[in-house]
Amino acid sequence: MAAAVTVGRAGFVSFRGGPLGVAVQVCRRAHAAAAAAPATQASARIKTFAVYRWNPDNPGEKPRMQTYEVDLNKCGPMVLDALIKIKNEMDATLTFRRSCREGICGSCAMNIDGGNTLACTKRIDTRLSKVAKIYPLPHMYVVKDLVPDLSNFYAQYKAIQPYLKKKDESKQGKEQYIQSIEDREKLDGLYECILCACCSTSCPSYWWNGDKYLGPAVLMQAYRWMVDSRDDYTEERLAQLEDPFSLYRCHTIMNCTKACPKGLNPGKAIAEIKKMMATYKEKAASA
Amino acid sequence: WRRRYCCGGRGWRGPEEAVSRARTALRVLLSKALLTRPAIACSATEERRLLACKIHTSPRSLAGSKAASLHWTGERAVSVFLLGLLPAAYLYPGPVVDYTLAAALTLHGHWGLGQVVTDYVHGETSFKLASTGLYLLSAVTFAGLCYFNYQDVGICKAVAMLWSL
Amino acid sequence: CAPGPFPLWGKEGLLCKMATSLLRLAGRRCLCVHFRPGPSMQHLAPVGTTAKEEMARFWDKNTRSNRPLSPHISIYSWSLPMMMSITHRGTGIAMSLGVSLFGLSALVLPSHFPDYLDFVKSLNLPAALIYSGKFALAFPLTFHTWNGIRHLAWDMGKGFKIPQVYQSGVLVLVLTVLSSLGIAAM
Repeated sequence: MAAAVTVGRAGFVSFRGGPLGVAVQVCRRAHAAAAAAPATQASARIKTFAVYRWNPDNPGEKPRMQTYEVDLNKCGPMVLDALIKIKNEMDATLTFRRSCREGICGSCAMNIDGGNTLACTKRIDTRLSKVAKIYPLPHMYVVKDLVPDLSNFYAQYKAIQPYLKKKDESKQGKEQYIQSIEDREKLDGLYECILCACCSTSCPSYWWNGDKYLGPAVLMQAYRWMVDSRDDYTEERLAQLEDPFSLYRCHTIMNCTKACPKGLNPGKAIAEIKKMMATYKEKAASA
Repeated sequence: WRRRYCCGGRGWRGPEEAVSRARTALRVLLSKALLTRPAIACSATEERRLLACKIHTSPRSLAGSKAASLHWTGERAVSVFLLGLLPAAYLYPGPVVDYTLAAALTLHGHWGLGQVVTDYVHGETSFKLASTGLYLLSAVTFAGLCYFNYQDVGICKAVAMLWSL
Repeated sequence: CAPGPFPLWGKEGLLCKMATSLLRLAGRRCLCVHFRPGPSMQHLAPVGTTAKEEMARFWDKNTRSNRPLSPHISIYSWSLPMMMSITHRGTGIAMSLGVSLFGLSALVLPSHFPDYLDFVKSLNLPAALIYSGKFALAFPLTFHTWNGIRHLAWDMGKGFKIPQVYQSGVLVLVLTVLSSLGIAAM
């Protein structure tokens, strides 16, 4: 039973000699043997992907679903890996947006298996009996295949003036605008939004009234600026929402928070705006 | 030839002054306060877009009107009030609760259906039509309930009688 | 600064470079920016579109295009909160129409309420049917009421985490069934 146990740097424990050490060695070798041989012999795991297709260049063509079969053994774990594999090896015409492949740029937002997420952070459902259904973000004009026209979404974001506004601009650039730790914490859970549009396009109210209802993403950013202690235009930002559509088409359906791939809570932010709207005292709110 | 290219016909007062003017111009251009209409209009296409603006952007009432947020608060207030009326109707049935119930029920329903109409009815004329129809419906409902309270047994008694079946 | 030989060095060169980058900045169709040094900037056209203009362009372009709308209600996966939300609306509409029908009947029908009740009593309906009828009347009321309280909690800012949304949803359903059964038995 004499086993030399040493604790090396970084606290790794190694067994040298002794029955335990030998057992570990045997195990390791067996694992290596098992891994080496059957990789080539392992049966392919074929997953079917049904992807929404539409080409503006073919006149009169209707949107259709096209299926592709992907061997999951030869593909990365995320849906985006499968889409890129399909585009590289099977169908170069498949069109979709993507960039960072790490869930921070928001380009690859789409509807996968009925829910809006980022393709790059959504794991492929390895149950081979199920067909993976991939659609563009719901109720959006389709530019091509999985690419929606997001310009209205961006215009709505522009409309809420998502930048710091001070009443006295004379001190701009001279020194920092001081913000306490507590005030900075209020921005947590708000500033991390990547504007992927998963939440807004999951909202039925945004489907039916996307022209006049701003949607959860934009409203959460409006709240982000309302609640920033350095911003002086809170009241004006609230007054901007005083109409039946911009804010008040939200009926707390809560699809938005469920869809957010970054784990943020736009539904809560909207509720906080509604509370502020009910309680703010109107001073001289001249736009 | 330098003056021909960079002069502009206003007199060339030296390159330093031009550079400082250029810097001011850059600052002015990039200032966000200056996002106004382009100096040269694009006529037909621009006008069509402006018309689309009126249709598709949300109607803003007078700057400073809190109508929308007050409506929201009113809806919640009536909801809470109606919530309290239900046990009151059970514990203290009678004409006071009957008429209060008629009013609160009709108002809550009117505002609720109003949200439904706003959500699903698109287009100016359709919306006006639906809103008028809704007003008529609510008016008739309230009239009918008040008539029932006055000429018939009243809401509370009616429910009690129905449940004794 | 027109193309052709012009100095790239010195202060005039700097002026030309700034003008060129300004022109690039102003690069939008329909806009001509004339940069001239001088006391008034009246030839300078400000650039950029307003949010309103961008929205108008979006609707203009897309409504006249043949672009399809991506599928929505047919492909989006249903969840408990989504179903309860539409049920809240459905029960509200149903009860509103019911109350309106009741009010309208009061104005239109000839007899009084007790007479109609006596008619129903004379039908001698089985007790199970009466109970089911009461349950059917009580269910939308209790669901809308309990879920309404859930909405009021949300309006106060409470219960917005996703697990809480599901928990409160299940609670509402349980309370609905229990209170409907109880009220129907009264």
